[in-house]
Amino acid sequence: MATVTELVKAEEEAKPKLWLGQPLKRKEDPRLISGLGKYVDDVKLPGLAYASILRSPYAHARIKSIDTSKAEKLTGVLCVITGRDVVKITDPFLQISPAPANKLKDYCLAVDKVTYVGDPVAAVVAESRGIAEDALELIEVEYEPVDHVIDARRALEKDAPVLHEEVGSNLVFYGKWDYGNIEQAIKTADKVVKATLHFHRFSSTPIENNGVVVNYDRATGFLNIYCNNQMPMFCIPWLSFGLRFPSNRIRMITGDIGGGFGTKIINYPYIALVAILAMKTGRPVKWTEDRREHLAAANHGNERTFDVEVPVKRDGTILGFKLKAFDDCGAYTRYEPAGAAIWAQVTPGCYHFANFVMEFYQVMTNKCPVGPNRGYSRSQHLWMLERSVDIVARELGLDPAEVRLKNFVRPDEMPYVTPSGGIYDGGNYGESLRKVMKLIDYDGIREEQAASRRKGGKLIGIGLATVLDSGTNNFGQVKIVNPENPFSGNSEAARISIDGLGQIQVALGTVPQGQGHETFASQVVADEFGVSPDQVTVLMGFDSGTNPYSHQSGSYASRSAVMGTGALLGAAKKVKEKAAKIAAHLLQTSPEKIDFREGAAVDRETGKKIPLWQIGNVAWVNNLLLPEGMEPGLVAINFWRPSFTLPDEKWRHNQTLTYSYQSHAAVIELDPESGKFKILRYAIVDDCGTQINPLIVEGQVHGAAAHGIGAAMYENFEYDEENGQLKSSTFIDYLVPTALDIPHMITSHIETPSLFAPKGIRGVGEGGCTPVGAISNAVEDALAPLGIRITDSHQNPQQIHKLIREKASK
Amino acid sequence: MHFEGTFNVKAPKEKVFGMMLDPNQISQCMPDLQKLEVKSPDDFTAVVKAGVSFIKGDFTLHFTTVEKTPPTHAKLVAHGTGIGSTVDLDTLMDIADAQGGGTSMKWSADAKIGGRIASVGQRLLNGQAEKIVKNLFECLQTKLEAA
Repeated sequence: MATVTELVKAEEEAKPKLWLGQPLKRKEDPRLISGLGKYVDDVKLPGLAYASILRSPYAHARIKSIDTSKAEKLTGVLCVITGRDVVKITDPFLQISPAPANKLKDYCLAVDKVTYVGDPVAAVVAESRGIAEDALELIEVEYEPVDHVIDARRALEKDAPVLHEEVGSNLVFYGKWDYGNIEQAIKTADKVVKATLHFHRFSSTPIENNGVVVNYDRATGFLNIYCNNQMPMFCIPWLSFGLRFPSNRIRMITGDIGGGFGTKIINYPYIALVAILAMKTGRPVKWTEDRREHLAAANHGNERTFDVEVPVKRDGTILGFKLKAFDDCGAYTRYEPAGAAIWAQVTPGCYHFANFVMEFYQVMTNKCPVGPNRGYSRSQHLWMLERSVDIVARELGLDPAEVRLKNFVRPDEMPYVTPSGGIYDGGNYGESLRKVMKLIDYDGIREEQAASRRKGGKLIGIGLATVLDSGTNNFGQVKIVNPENPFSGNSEAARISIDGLGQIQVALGTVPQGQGHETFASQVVADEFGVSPDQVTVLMGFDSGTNPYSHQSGSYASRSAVMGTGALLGAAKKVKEKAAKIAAHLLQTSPEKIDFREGAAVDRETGKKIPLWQIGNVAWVNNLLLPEGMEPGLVAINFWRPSFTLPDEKWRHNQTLTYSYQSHAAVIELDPESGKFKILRYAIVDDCGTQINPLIVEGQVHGAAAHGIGAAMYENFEYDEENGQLKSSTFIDYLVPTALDIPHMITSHIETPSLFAPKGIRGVGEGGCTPVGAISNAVEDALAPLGIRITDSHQNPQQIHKLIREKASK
Repeated sequence: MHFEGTFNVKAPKEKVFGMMLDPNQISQCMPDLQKLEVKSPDDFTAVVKAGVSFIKGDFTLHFTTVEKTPPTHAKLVAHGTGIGSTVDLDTLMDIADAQGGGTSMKWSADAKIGGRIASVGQRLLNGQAEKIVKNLFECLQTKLEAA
């Protein structure tokens, strides 16, 4: 008689081996690492001409005159345009802000004034990039500099310089979220912990900058746009209305993209500019952004200051949060003020307090426009929570780990509904924290720290952070900033076909920027049809001429795995239903008895099979063998949308479908003499639900960690107070960490399937900037004997040294 | 950026004032002068070759005298553009009798740099700008003493 062990083993072996969950090497990599990647700069068209952009050297100035005559005369120059030309032939870009901020006139070139260093003022098209750059030197612009403002709070003051007179002030949006009873919580608290915290301005630095090639085809009337925008079809209204060009003649094409991270969402003004240049010159025009332009004028992340009040009980129970936030969104609102509502996806972070008030101000300043940057708007909020929880622990004399574990949402509370209506889809925050503490040997390190403190010398610090990575957004959240915004829900499209020879081809609307879409899609589809991923071909890149799409298609908000899988499963279902009917007809059985495995449709009862090639043959070229009345062909497009609702009158709704989370632990050693510190140990526990491909997940976890460490220790956009100049617009000053700067990271995973997403998967692309929390907490922990409070998300040696000196001199 | 200095020279106030506001003299003390166009002593343009580290090129600087109280006080402003950058310079000169004879000249300069040079050469900018400004006044001092 078989033993229980043998029976269990037999059952395991009988289960079909799934491709889902296998750490397959990526399909994209061979071409990417052998120089065969096709990026927008690789696009070559006959007659290609090259554009360059003249940019403002002032933070805030009126444009008194522009003389382009000398530039136009340079041999090889095809045209020179300024804001004056643009205003005649385009309309200002759509705004999603409420009145009066939506009166802002945003064109692809500055018209009457420049409002940030790097603001485009004129553009040149020439036979070569070199000539185009030389021509810029010949354009004479007369500026009248005016007072600038680079601080959000200052920009709200009555006498502050106003950037856009048509708006009247620098305020983009003010909103108050009010849940529970925070005043009551403050009254009944044992203590109210207060702090003012600042999340600094930084961005992502994709290896590939923005680039556009536009070819206006006069024969067909089509505007063919090759770009690297992350959600090209979402841009269509901005481009179509702005350019006064019908949307049914705009084709958007993306190839391989060298990283996006959110920074390639608001590049539509550059696309519009190059389109104008192409239509004006009658030549295909290419613009490739250089690094200095990218760092100064492409996309900065939100910079946000918080006034925080946390009512707490002596035992560490957090009763709520009372907040005032000032968000600095730079000189133009191009996706903002969406960020003013997006943080509410994760209102309480991982904690279950019910009382919450947020007064959120979003303000324009003379800095680079802000757009989505990995962890968009949630990173700032979650860092504030993690920093605050540590401050609470310190003021109460409790261990920060204990305070977290005490206040975490518990697994038995899942699905947990937050004060703002967010619905957390499962997870065990406490387990992830305990696990990461074990990975760095928390107790052992605390002992080492105590011993080191007794001895004197270098200071050891331990920092923890547990952060959510909310994914798959509900566009309905932009109705919070303006109820008129015509966007809601989310959607994605996929097409699956089995051709006349039984070969499977897949096309997605998601726009990959290196996340491995071809690979994960192959795995998901392979499981559906019982073939191997090598037998599934997924079209690379995105082309609105050949790929299915929705106008919400793209890669952003950690949504491609979930949305792509949802769309693929629906398309697979449609194709399988038809293929099963055809197979059943050929086998003279019923479709319910058909399974798909080993490249064939198999009758479960008799074992008889029809290979996919035969089904394809009948569907496409041999259709007299089809069941009576059945349409030929074997292809299906599917549009998938998650279940969402609109915000209610108190703005409550579920703003994202999935909530991945990570716990990080950082151990640092800080030298009080220099302010420098190094990371001794770093551990990560990640839960992104069911993992489609553990290799891809590992890559994302490492990438997000490097990104966060970069932000915490190296990357900071600094503007000069005196003249509004960006002081860090090259890699000399904007320090991007290299492989030598990133510590070895110990990683581990938990897999609690999502309660709501297909196959239990969660988006994992962003990461929530967890290291920024862990490292700022570690620095404060290291400096605890000196009683220093860390209130900034960016730690650099000069700052730390200054804090130590200031404390010593008191 | 703000720079200032004082120097004493054995020359009468009027001579010092005259030289300090003579476009031909001032331009000779500028780094690598390429061209000079004098409309009047109070309005002249100089093209100089300057820069920071590897970013060097031609700057067109337009000077105007905005305050003039011979022989004791003058304010000269310059606005220049070149290699994707802008320069705005305000210089003040105050001349008085020096103790023990001769003239004491007190100068100060406020410089605002914008554009490419400001963002790329930020670290080196202060040092380089100070060098240029100091060289200018030292050169003028040398000329005065030689005369």
